Amino acid sequence: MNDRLEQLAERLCEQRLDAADLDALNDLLLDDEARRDYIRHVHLHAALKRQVRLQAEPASRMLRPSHSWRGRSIGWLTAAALIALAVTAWFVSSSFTTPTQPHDSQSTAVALLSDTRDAVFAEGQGAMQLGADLPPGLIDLRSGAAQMMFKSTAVVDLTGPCRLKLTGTNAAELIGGTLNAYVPEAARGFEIRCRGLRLIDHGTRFVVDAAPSGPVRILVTEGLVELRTRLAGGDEQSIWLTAMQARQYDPEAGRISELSPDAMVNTNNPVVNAGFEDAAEVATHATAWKLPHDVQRRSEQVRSGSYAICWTPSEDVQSLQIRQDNRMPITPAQWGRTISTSVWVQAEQLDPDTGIVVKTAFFDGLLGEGGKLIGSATSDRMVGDATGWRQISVQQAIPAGARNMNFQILIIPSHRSGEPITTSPVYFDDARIDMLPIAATQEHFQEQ
Amino acid sequence: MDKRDRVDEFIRLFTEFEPRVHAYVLSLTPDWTEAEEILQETNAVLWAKFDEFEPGSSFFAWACQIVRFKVMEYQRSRGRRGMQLDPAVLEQIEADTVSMADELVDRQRALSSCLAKLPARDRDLIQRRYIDSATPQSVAQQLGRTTEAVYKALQRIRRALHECITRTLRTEGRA
Repeated sequence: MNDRLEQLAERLCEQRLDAADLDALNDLLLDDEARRDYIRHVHLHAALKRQVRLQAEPASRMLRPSHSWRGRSIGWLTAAALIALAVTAWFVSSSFTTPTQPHDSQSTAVALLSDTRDAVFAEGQGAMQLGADLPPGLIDLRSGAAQMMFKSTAVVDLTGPCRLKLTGTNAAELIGGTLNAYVPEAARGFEIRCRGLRLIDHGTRFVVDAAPSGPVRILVTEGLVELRTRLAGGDEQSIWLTAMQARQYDPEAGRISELSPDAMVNTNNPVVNAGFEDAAEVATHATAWKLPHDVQRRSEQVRSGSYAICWTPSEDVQSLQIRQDNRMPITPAQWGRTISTSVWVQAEQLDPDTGIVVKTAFFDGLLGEGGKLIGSATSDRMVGDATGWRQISVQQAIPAGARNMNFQILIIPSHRSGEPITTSPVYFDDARIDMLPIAATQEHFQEQ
Repeated sequence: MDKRDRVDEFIRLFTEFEPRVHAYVLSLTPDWTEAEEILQETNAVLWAKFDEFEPGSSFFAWACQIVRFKVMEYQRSRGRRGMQLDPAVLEQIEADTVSMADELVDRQRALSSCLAKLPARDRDLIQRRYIDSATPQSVAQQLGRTTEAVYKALQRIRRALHECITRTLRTEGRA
């Protein structure tokens, strides 16, 4: 590409073109080769935008309510027709009209179930098939992830366990759990209420995390969100947050205070059924995990939630491998980013030569479908007793070419044959993979 | 073909071609906001008129025609405000974009691996620049650099990506 054309194409990409530039560009584009170079340049500009947008989306996002209906999650193709029909019907009928007020009539659907990933809903939740119309009322997601699109076109991703009460075509109340929201222009004014706090969105993306007890945490990743709460004296406090600003709200004190955005960057844990809470109605099974028969869900020792998994040693088993495969896709934009893989362990009377490790392996495709191993990282061995819960973790940069990663918990046996690994049960809970902030990734690179 | 099959067919074609249509809209009207509006309107027309699409013909060429019509309509409705290439140039860009369809797909594919080869600092800058609603000014503010320095860095990185993509395609025998 000649320098002048490159300069004009660059100015155009950054919207700095003036009338004289435009005339010059029109002249240059009469040349066939220059025009082809120009098309390549603009195509790169558009492709970069798409790559970054893909990375910014939560893992479970598959449906954007405006122009981009591309699917990324498992099962999309089979559900595509259903969703497209529902979405098209909605768009045609609503034509992006102004959202209606909260508390619509009970008979009217206010949202649509637009995606699920290993979602388990509470019993009595009613039909929760993909594409189902959702009337006002409680969504009780026990585990997995679910996405719903309000009639206003606002989209929320819930990560189980999460309870969300739909209150209108552009409003909901978060009872507890983590919610990611994407609010396009048409849905401005989208409102989430949570324990006395009102979040009013002005066209943006944000995350709300409301643990069963403790503060409500809010992170705005794009755009503008207004937080409102009523102070003890009756006055209303209003705070505006812009991109990468976070706050926490103490419901008991009714106070909003500062919070570092880094504290919430890792809200999206891609590990499915990370707390082993979901059993899909098989009492001892943990959905999404490959567990040997001597590993079962148990409730007598837990770090969080109601369940952990427990390995009961026997004399003839000298090693252990627990895995989650093909559940955690990687996008090219994530190559080079550092992740931290961790799990909590409680173990007693471990043989001193035995070690417990956590490991992540990266593949260039799906495991079992031709995907080849292209890198892995294993934590230091946890040896000795862990009275109480101990966390083991490892950090690793995602290698270029990776499309998929897995999660493994291993017990590496003693080299002294015949020695039992342990005689006591070993418990595991709260598996996590955290994408570290870019600054931490750069530090990690510099250390290497 | 019954209605359901038509919907499936539409989604298949739409999913395959939407990135290229998006790039094409940008080549005609590089303002992101305008491009998004035009793309949304185009998508609505593609769906509404899908019955008129002749199976077996080029979906991309058909979409490009609708885009060009929409761009001209959009520009007419707004008067001569903002970026507007000559109609003759627009027509030639449309023809070239259609004829370059395969190459553009190859380039998009090569971009992923080229991005991964960028130094982390450059990748970070790209990420900051292309996140929705970011501007070179906002990026400069975040990084404590001048806007001009950000423009220059972005130009350098995009040039490096161009060269990497072209090299990759040459190595694969596609360029």
